[in-house]
Amino acid sequence: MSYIDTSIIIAALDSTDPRMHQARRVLEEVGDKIISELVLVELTSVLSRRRELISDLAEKLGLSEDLLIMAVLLYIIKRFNLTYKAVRYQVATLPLGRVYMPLAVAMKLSAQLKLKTLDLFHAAYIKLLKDEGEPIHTLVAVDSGFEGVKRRLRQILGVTTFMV
Amino acid sequence: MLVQLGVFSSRSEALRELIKAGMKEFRLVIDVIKAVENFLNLREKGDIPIRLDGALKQLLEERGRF
Repeated sequence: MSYIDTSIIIAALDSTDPRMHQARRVLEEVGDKIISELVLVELTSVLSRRRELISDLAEKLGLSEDLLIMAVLLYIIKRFNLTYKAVRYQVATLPLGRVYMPLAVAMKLSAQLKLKTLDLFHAAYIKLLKDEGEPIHTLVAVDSGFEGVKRRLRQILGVTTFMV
Repeated sequence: MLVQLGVFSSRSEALRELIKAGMKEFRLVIDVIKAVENFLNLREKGDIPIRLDGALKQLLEERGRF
Protein backbone atom coordinates (compact mmCIF):
# COMPACT_ATOMS: atom_id res chain seq x y z
CA MET A 1 0.00 0.00 0.00
CA SER A 2 1.24 3.50 -0.85
CA TYR A 3 0.64 6.73 1.04
CA ILE A 4 -0.10 9.41 -1.53
CA ASP A 5 1.18 12.89 -0.76
CA THR A 6 -0.93 15.86 -1.88
CA SER A 7 1.88 17.06 -4.16
CA ILE A 8 1.54 14.20 -6.64
CA ILE A 9 -2.25 14.61 -6.88
CA ILE A 10 -1.84 18.32 -7.59
CA ALA A 11 0.95 17.58 -10.10
CA ALA A 12 -1.38 15.20 -11.96
CA LEU A 13 -3.91 18.04 -12.43
CA ASP A 14 -1.43 20.82 -13.23
CA SER A 15 -0.75 21.07 -16.96
CA THR A 16 1.90 23.75 -16.40
CA ASP A 17 4.11 21.27 -14.56
CA PRO A 18 6.37 19.05 -16.68
CA ARG A 19 5.69 16.11 -14.33
CA MET A 20 1.93 16.08 -14.98
CA HIS A 21 1.85 13.05 -17.29
CA GLN A 22 4.28 11.07 -15.16
CA ALA A 23 2.36 11.93 -11.99
CA ARG A 24 -0.90 10.88 -13.64
CA ARG A 25 0.64 7.63 -14.90
CA VAL A 26 2.01 6.81 -11.45
CA LEU A 27 -1.37 7.47 -9.82
CA GLU A 28 -3.09 5.29 -12.40
CA GLU A 29 -0.58 2.44 -12.17
CA VAL A 30 0.18 2.19 -8.45
CA GLY A 31 -2.09 -0.34 -6.69
CA ASP A 32 -3.52 0.32 -3.23
CA LYS A 33 -3.32 4.03 -2.49
CA ILE A 34 -4.23 5.67 0.79
CA ILE A 35 -4.68 9.33 1.69
CA SER A 36 -5.13 11.04 5.04
CA GLU A 37 -7.31 13.92 6.24
CA LEU A 38 -4.29 16.19 5.77
CA VAL A 39 -4.33 15.48 2.02
CA LEU A 40 -8.02 16.46 1.97
CA VAL A 41 -7.27 19.70 3.81
CA GLU A 42 -4.41 20.63 1.47
CA LEU A 43 -6.52 19.85 -1.60
CA THR A 44 -9.40 21.91 -0.19
CA SER A 45 -7.08 24.81 0.45
CA VAL A 46 -5.78 24.73 -3.13
CA LEU A 47 -9.25 24.30 -4.65
CA SER A 48 -10.86 27.05 -2.58
CA ARG A 49 -8.45 29.59 -4.09
CA ARG A 50 -9.24 28.57 -7.68
CA ARG A 51 -12.12 30.99 -7.64
CA GLU A 52 -12.92 31.02 -11.33
CA LEU A 53 -12.89 27.22 -11.64
CA ILE A 54 -14.99 26.73 -8.52
CA SER A 55 -17.56 29.46 -9.21
CA ASP A 56 -17.98 28.38 -12.87
CA LEU A 57 -18.48 24.73 -11.93
CA ALA A 58 -20.73 25.61 -8.97
CA GLU A 59 -22.95 27.65 -11.27
CA LYS A 60 -23.00 24.97 -13.98
CA LEU A 61 -23.93 22.25 -11.49
CA GLY A 62 -26.23 24.35 -9.29
CA LEU A 63 -24.21 23.73 -6.12
CA SER A 64 -22.90 26.06 -3.45
CA GLU A 65 -19.13 26.51 -3.57
CA ASP A 66 -18.48 24.50 -0.41
CA LEU A 67 -20.51 21.56 -1.73
CA LEU A 68 -18.80 21.89 -5.09
CA ILE A 69 -15.40 21.59 -3.41
CA MET A 70 -16.63 18.45 -1.63
CA ALA A 71 -17.77 17.05 -5.00
CA VAL A 72 -14.39 17.83 -6.56
CA LEU A 73 -12.62 16.05 -3.69
CA LEU A 74 -14.81 12.98 -4.22
CA TYR A 75 -14.19 13.15 -7.96
CA ILE A 76 -10.40 13.26 -7.41
CA ILE A 77 -10.63 10.30 -5.01
CA LYS A 78 -12.61 8.32 -7.59
CA ARG A 79 -10.54 9.50 -10.57
CA PHE A 80 -7.29 8.23 -9.09
CA ASN A 81 -8.78 5.31 -7.19
CA LEU A 82 -7.61 6.61 -3.81
CA THR A 83 -8.80 5.44 -0.41
CA TYR A 84 -9.31 7.96 2.35
CA LYS A 85 -8.67 6.61 5.83
CA ALA A 86 -9.40 8.56 8.96
CA VAL A 87 -7.12 8.01 11.92
CA ARG A 88 -8.81 7.13 15.21
CA TYR A 89 -9.59 10.23 17.24
CA GLN A 90 -7.05 10.23 20.03
CA VAL A 91 -5.41 12.81 22.22
CA ALA A 92 -1.92 12.52 23.70
CA THR A 93 -1.08 13.93 27.09
CA LEU A 94 2.25 15.69 26.91
CA PRO A 95 4.03 17.52 29.74
CA LEU A 96 2.53 20.74 28.34
CA GLY A 97 -1.04 19.50 28.07
CA ARG A 98 -3.40 17.55 25.79
CA VAL A 99 -2.53 17.49 22.09
CA TYR A 100 -4.39 15.91 19.10
CA MET A 101 -2.51 12.70 18.33
CA PRO A 102 -1.28 13.47 14.77
CA LEU A 103 0.26 16.70 16.06
CA ALA A 104 1.80 14.94 19.06
CA VAL A 105 3.34 12.29 16.79
CA ALA A 106 4.63 15.04 14.48
CA MET A 107 6.26 16.73 17.47
CA LYS A 108 7.85 13.43 18.47
CA LEU A 109 9.15 12.76 14.94
CA SER A 110 10.46 16.28 14.41
CA ALA A 111 13.78 15.76 16.20
CA GLN A 112 14.55 12.71 14.08
CA LEU A 113 13.22 13.79 10.69
CA LYS A 114 13.80 17.56 10.77
CA LEU A 115 11.15 18.16 8.13
CA LYS A 116 9.08 21.27 7.48
CA THR A 117 5.71 21.34 9.25
CA LEU A 118 3.38 19.93 6.60
CA ASP A 119 5.87 17.26 5.47
CA LEU A 120 6.24 16.33 9.12
CA PHE A 121 2.45 16.00 9.49
CA HIS A 122 2.35 13.63 6.53
CA ALA A 123 5.08 11.53 8.18
CA ALA A 124 2.99 11.50 11.38
CA TYR A 125 -0.10 10.33 9.47
CA ILE A 126 1.93 7.54 7.86
CA LYS A 127 3.06 6.41 11.32
CA LEU A 128 -0.45 6.55 12.79
CA LEU A 129 -2.06 4.75 9.84
CA LYS A 130 0.63 2.06 10.02
CA ASP A 131 0.11 1.73 13.78
CA GLU A 132 -3.60 1.23 13.05
CA GLY A 133 -2.80 -1.68 10.74
CA GLU A 134 -2.54 -0.14 7.28
CA PRO A 135 0.30 -1.94 5.45
CA ILE A 136 1.93 1.23 4.06
CA HIS A 137 5.32 0.51 2.50
CA THR A 138 5.83 3.46 0.15
CA LEU A 139 5.42 7.22 0.23
CA VAL A 140 4.68 8.62 -3.23
CA ALA A 141 5.38 12.34 -3.67
CA VAL A 142 6.63 15.11 -5.91
CA ASP A 143 7.74 17.35 -3.03
CA SER A 144 11.54 17.28 -2.91
CA GLY A 145 11.36 17.98 0.81
CA PHE A 146 11.13 14.21 1.33
CA GLU A 147 14.13 13.51 -0.91
CA GLY A 148 16.79 14.35 1.68
CA VAL A 149 15.26 12.20 4.40
CA LYS A 150 14.60 9.03 2.39
CA ARG A 151 16.94 6.96 4.54
CA ARG A 152 15.50 8.25 7.80
CA LEU A 153 11.96 7.66 6.59
CA ARG A 154 12.93 4.07 5.84
CA GLN A 155 14.62 3.60 9.22
CA ILE A 156 12.04 5.35 11.37
CA LEU A 157 8.75 4.72 9.55
CA GLY A 158 9.68 1.66 7.48
CA VAL A 159 8.62 3.24 4.20
CA THR A 160 10.51 3.74 0.97
CA THR A 161 10.06 7.05 -0.80
CA PHE A 162 9.10 7.16 -4.47
CA MET A 163 9.64 10.56 -6.03
CA VAL A 164 8.22 11.67 -9.37
CA MET B 1 -21.93 5.48 -4.87
CA LEU B 2 -20.56 6.52 -1.47
CA VAL B 3 -19.38 2.96 -0.89
CA GLN B 4 -17.82 2.85 -4.38
CA LEU B 5 -16.04 6.11 -3.65
CA GLY B 6 -14.59 4.67 -0.46
CA VAL B 7 -16.30 7.20 1.79
CA PHE B 8 -18.03 4.36 3.66
CA SER B 9 -16.92 0.77 3.88
CA SER B 10 -20.40 -0.72 3.48
CA ARG B 11 -23.98 0.17 2.52
CA SER B 12 -25.12 -0.35 6.11
CA GLU B 13 -22.45 2.02 7.42
CA ALA B 14 -23.47 4.62 4.81
CA LEU B 15 -27.16 4.32 5.74
CA ARG B 16 -26.40 4.50 9.48
CA GLU B 17 -24.34 7.67 9.04
CA LEU B 18 -26.86 9.31 6.72
CA ILE B 19 -29.75 8.57 9.09
CA LYS B 20 -27.70 10.06 11.90
CA ALA B 21 -26.97 13.15 9.82
CA GLY B 22 -30.66 13.72 8.99
CA MET B 23 -32.67 14.45 5.85
CA LYS B 24 -31.17 17.88 5.17
CA GLU B 25 -27.64 16.48 5.05
CA PHE B 26 -28.91 13.54 3.02
CA ARG B 27 -30.19 15.89 0.30
CA LEU B 28 -26.83 17.66 0.22
CA VAL B 29 -25.04 14.34 -0.16
CA ILE B 30 -27.31 13.46 -3.10
CA ASP B 31 -26.44 16.80 -4.77
CA VAL B 32 -22.73 16.15 -4.31
CA ILE B 33 -23.04 12.62 -5.72
CA LYS B 34 -24.88 13.95 -8.78
CA ALA B 35 -22.07 16.46 -9.31
CA VAL B 36 -19.45 13.70 -9.09
CA GLU B 37 -21.42 11.66 -11.63
CA ASN B 38 -21.43 14.68 -13.95
CA PHE B 39 -17.66 14.98 -13.63
CA LEU B 40 -17.24 11.29 -14.38
CA ASN B 41 -19.48 11.62 -17.47
CA LEU B 42 -17.35 14.51 -18.72
CA ARG B 43 -14.27 12.37 -18.19
CA GLU B 44 -15.76 9.60 -20.33
CA LYS B 45 -16.00 12.16 -23.13
CA GLY B 46 -12.25 12.68 -22.73
CA ASP B 47 -12.46 15.92 -20.78
CA ILE B 48 -11.00 16.08 -17.28
CA PRO B 49 -12.86 19.05 -15.85
CA ILE B 50 -10.51 19.85 -12.98
CA ARG B 51 -7.40 21.72 -14.05
CA LEU B 52 -5.15 23.20 -11.41
CA ASP B 53 -2.59 25.02 -13.52
CA GLY B 54 0.18 26.52 -11.42
CA ALA B 55 -1.12 24.85 -8.26
CA LEU B 56 1.88 22.58 -7.67
CA LYS B 57 4.29 25.51 -7.52
CA GLN B 58 1.86 27.27 -5.16
CA LEU B 59 1.57 24.22 -2.87
CA LEU B 60 5.32 23.64 -2.71
CA GLU B 61 6.01 27.32 -2.07
CA GLU B 62 3.48 27.34 0.75
CA ARG B 63 4.98 24.23 2.29
CA GLY B 64 8.37 25.94 2.13
CA ARG B 65 7.02 28.93 4.01
CA PHE B 66 6.16 26.88 7.07
